[in-house]
Amino acid sequence: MTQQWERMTFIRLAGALTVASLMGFAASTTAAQAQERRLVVAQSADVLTLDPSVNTAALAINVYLNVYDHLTQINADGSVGPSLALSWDIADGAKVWTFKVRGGAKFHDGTLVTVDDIIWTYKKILADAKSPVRPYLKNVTAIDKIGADSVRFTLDTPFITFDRQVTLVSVLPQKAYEALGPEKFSVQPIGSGPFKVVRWVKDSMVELVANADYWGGAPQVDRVTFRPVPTEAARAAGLASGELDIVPVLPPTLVASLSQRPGIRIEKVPSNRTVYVGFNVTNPGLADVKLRRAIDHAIDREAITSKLLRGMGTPIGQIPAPVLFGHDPAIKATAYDPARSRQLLAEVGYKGEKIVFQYPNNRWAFAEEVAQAIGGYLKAVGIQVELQSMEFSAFFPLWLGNKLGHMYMFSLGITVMDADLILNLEYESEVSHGYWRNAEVDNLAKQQRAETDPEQRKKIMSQVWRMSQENAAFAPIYNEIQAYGVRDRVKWSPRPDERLNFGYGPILTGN
Amino acid sequence: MTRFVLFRIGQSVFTVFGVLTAAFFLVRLSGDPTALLLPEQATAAEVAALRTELGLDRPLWLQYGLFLGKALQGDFGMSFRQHSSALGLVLERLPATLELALTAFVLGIGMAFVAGLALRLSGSRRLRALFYWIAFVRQAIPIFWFGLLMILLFSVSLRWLPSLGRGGIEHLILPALTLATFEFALYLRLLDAAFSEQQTQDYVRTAYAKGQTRARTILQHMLPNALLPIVTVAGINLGVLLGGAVVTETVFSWPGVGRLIVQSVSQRDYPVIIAGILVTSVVFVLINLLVDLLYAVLDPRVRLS
Repeated sequence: MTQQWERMTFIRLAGALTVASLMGFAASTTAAQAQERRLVVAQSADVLTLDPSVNTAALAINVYLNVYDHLTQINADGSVGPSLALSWDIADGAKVWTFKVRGGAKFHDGTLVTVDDIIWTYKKILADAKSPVRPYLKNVTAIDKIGADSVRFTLDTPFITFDRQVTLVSVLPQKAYEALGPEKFSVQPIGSGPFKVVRWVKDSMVELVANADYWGGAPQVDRVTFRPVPTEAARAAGLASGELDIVPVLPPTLVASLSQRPGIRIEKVPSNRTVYVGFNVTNPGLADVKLRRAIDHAIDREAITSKLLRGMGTPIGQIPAPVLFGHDPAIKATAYDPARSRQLLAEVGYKGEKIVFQYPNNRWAFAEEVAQAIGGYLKAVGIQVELQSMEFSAFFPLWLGNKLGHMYMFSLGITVMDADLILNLEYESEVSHGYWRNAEVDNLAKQQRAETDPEQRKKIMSQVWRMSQENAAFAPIYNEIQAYGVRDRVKWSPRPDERLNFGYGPILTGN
Repeated sequence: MTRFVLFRIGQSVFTVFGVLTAAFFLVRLSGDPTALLLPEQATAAEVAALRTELGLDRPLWLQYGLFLGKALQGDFGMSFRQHSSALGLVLERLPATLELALTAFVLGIGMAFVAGLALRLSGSRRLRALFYWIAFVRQAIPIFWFGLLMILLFSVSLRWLPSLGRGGIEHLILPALTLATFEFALYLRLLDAAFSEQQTQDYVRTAYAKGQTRARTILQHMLPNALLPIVTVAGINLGVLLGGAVVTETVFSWPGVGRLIVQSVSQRDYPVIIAGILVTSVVFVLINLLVDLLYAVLDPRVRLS
């Protein structure tokens, strides 16, 4: 009955709307626009500023990557390669980095990109206490111009991945920035990247056009529009209706239904993101390694990834994802062994003491479901868990401030594609947000940071992952496989680093 | 009259001041924003430095004093996340919200009047049952779900209308209809109830006894009286709509005030939250003021003393 009435309502409305819609929407896809190769990409939210020196949000960086250049860039395979810098060399045990800058690169206003612009950009960021980019450069003590075409960074400590770190800093035009001022620049920016900003209508769209003079060659697309579409369902509908060409990071629930629609395909890519469980080992209730191992063995990662995530994840035994430099394929995910868990619990004399499990529920897909599954597996072996689901905005300050008291779930997607950052964020005593710490790990982390032989670095890092697994410092759960909804007319494959860079990117065919 | 208006304006200013004060302390209860403004690589020292930079390490009474001082000059601070004034960010989105809210309001109330009068004038029970069913079904479906159904039908299946964003009139149709049909259901019931109440009044019987036609009795005598309760509800309801129809704005990616406020809350962007609350409360208070005045015009029994 209800459905019938719905249909009636629809038909009535449809009749009334037909005329209006034929005049409006149909007219907007005219032949003239069809000749232009345009691409519409959905993101879950709008950028907050187009000034890359004051923002580090992942959604914004996807726009910045298309508008700005960086000294180096992360290639699609995760390696680091030249961009504005043609080459670079390392001295003094990875403490002094000299980048030779390409000549002839131009900003969108026609001025040349100079070494002075680059130095000014870095110094501007370092001088701005409010800039979230500044923490990326905390090791830099001096920036000098060397000759006419090189810039030298001096660091206070060896930092072997500094050539990756500079991909996080977009180069700005000093003159134009100073002339416009930060407020104007943040809405009408000038970069040197493959696309220029045409207009930014807040919460509606960021529209870019191809930069025909790009030093890397003009892009294959004439116009790229980033549209903020806040709900998953609306993004899926926009893809199905043809209003959107690319919808990144689809939830597992939508992958199956969308893949059956004509005109759409699903592109899957193993990402740089790992979801893991951490323990506050300073909490007496979690101090015993056997108890943590019991938790580790109690979780059925295979079932979580294949059933719950519908194949959109792979079980993992270390925090670095397989696509990162420093991942060790020899380390396997902890086996599901509830009998062993029960035995370990008996050994430590566990008597049902409550363990709190905190996790953010709106940061990555299926966090709530996965956390509940983990809670269920722990209960199954007799562990009393109390789930505390929270918004990311409530969780993140606890993580950053090392105030998570018990067991927690977190996820890192390392955009510089090197596991060094994981050592820094989760293992090293001095700065880490992990709770399991020891001097040996600290030494290994420092050692690899000064090591110039890549193979040697991998070996050192691998030692840490092994120690971490033996001590059940963390319980890594899975590596996320990400799905992108793409319209068939777009020839394009997503990258493992969650980034959208259309400079060398997609080729459009037909409409 | 002038005294009444001045009194009500004074009351309104006091209300807005109260709202601002409550908003100021509530956002500060919602948690510290500094950690959220920095990337994962930030150190404790950097978090502390940023807190100082934003003035959040000062005692609460001092922060409140400084805030009030600036607010009196019309300065609600810069957004923590964007290089723009917080009030500017809200006002930028106001046209989109006004466009959607007013269209939906006029459309909804218009449809309700057409339907309400039609069923009164015709006296048809079938028509009445039909309209009540439509209103009932519409009100039973949550806005979010109804919006998605509209998108699936008109954008995905028929491809007649765009499903997302703001642009030409074609972008307005689906979100406006989603809201308007809900408004329609609300006002149809209200109007019909108001008419039913008038039906038994003496003046109606007298009018018929004098030989007035049904149409004249309804349009000239009953309608003005039936309007009174509608005006009150419509005022409050329009205020709510202008505060940003958050769900509709979200489903249709409409760049309005409601979406901005919700986003700012999740990012703990204090100045934007407060500016957003200010704007919506001013709009609300203004409309209430207008409703009071309009009420006095419509109903001579309401004295302005």
